[in-house]
Amino acid sequence: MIEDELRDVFARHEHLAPDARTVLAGIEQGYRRRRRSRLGLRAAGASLLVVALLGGSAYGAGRIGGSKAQPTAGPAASSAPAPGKPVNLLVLGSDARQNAANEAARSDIVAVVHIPANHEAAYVVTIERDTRVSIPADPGSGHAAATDKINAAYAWGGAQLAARTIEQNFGIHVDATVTFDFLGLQQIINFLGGVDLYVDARTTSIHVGYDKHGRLVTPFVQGSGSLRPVPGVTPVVYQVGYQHLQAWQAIDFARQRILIEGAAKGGYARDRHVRQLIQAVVKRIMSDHVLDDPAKLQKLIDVVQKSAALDTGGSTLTVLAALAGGISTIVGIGAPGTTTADSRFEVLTADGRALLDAVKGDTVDAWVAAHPDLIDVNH
Amino acid sequence: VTYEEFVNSRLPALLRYATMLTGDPHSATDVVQETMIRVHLKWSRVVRSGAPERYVRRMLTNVYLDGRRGSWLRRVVLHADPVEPPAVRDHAESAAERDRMWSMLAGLPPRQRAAVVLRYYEQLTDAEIAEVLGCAVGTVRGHISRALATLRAELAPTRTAGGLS
Repeated sequence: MIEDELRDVFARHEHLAPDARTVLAGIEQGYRRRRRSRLGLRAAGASLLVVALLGGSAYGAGRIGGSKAQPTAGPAASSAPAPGKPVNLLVLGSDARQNAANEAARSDIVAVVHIPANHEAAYVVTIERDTRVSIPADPGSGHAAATDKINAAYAWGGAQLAARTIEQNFGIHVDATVTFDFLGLQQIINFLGGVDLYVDARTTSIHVGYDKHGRLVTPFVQGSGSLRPVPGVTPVVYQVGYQHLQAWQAIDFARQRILIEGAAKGGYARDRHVRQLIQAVVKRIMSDHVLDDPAKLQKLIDVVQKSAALDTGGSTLTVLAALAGGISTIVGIGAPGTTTADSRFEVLTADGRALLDAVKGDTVDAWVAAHPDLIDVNH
Repeated sequence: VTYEEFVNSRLPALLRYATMLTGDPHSATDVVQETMIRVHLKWSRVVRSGAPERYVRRMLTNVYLDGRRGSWLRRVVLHADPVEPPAVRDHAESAAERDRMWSMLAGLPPRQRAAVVLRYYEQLTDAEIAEVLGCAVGTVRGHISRALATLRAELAPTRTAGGLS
C-alpha cells in the first residue's frame, strides 16, 4: 500500500536530519542578535508613540507648527507640566535603498529634536548632511578621528558615533538616538493611508517616472555629478500646493534633493521637506484619531515595530516616557549653513551656530522669538 | 519545563520533522533555526499554551509554509551569516536522491506535503493535523487524498511495467 511505502520512505530518510548541536549554535546566535534588535524596536515604537502623543497635545491645542509658535506666551505657560530637564533626541534617517549592499548607509537626515525643560514644545532642528564636523575616533570600528561630513559619522560608527559627534562639536548632550530609513517610514505612512501636505517648491522626482506604456521607470541616470534624463520617460512632478500624497509619493517627495526649485541648496530643501513630512505624519495620526482608538494604536505600533529599519540605542524608553503630554507645538527649523569655498562642505552660519548653542543651553525659545523668519512656515 | 529542557529533549525530533517537510537538511536547518529563535524569544507564551510540543510543531509548520511563499527564505538570505561549506554527500544521500517516492514528495504543494508528513511520519490523527494546519478536518482529508492520488498516478507507469516483466 502507498501508505506503508510513505511510512517506509520517511523512516529511510531520517538519517538526513541535521545534527542538533550544529543547529543549536545557529539558534543561539540568531536569538541573541534578534533579541537585541527587538529591544531596539520596542523602544522605537515607544518613541513614535511619544512623538505622536506630543503631537496630540499640540493638535488638541490647535497650535501645531512653526509660525504660530509663541513660546514665551499663551495658555500653555500657565498649565505647564512640572518642569524637568531638557531632552535632546538625535534622529538619523538613512536612505538605505540608494546604497549598494556592501556600502555603509550614510545618514542623509540628521535632526536634533530638542524638548526644552518646560516640556512645552518640540523643536525639530535639522543639520545639513554635508556639514563639516570633527568626528571623534571610534574604537568599535577602529576608525581614526577625522574632519568630514556629518553623515560620515553614522556610516563609520552608527548612531553611537553620530551622537558623540554631535556632543563633541556642538556641546549638545544626546539623550537618545532614533534611526529610521525611508522604507520604514513608507510603511508607517502606508498604514495611515497617505498624508496631506503643502508642497512649497516644485519638485521633480529623479527616482520615479512613467514610460509610454504607463510602467514605472527611473527617469534619470545619475552619474558622478551629472543627471541624464532617460528618453521617453516622464518623471513624476510634485506641484506647489496642497497635495494628498500616497505613501510612495510622500517618501519619493521627501527623498528628492536635486530637482527642487527655489533658492535653497538641495540638501537644505530636502531637510525642509522631511521636516514637513514629519509634521504631516503627526497631523495624520491626530486627525485619524489613532490615539483614541486602542485597536488602531496597537496596529500602528505593530507597523512601526515591523519596519525593521527602526532602531534606537540606550535609554530611549525611560527618557521618552517622562515626556508624555505637555508639548503644545512642534517647530521645524533648518540650521542655516553655507557652502565652503572649495564646495566640498557645508558650514554653519553665525545664525546656525547660535541655534545649536541655543539647543545646548536650552534657550531655543528665545532664538525662535528672535528669528521668526528662519523657522518653518506652517501651511 | 524550561526552554533548555525543551530544546534538549525535542530538537532532534523537530529536525527530523523539518527534514521530512523540506526534503533536505539545509532547508530543514533554516526552518528549525528560524522556528527555535522565535520559540526562545517567546518562550513564556509557548509555555502558557499548555502544550509546548504541539505549539512549537505548529510554529515550525507555519515557518515552513510561509517560507514556501518566500518570507523566511528572503530573511535568511538577507541576514545570512557566512555560508557554511556544503555538506559532504555520502552514499546514503545519493541513494536518497534515487528514491522516486522521496523526490515525488518534493513536487507536492506544501500543505499537502505537510498533511502527509503529519499523518504518516508524525502519526497524528486527522483532528490533530487540522489543529496544526489551522484548517478543518475535511480539508486535511482532502489534502491527503489529493496527495496520495498524485503519488499513485506518478508511480503507476512503473508499477505496470514491473508487473509485466
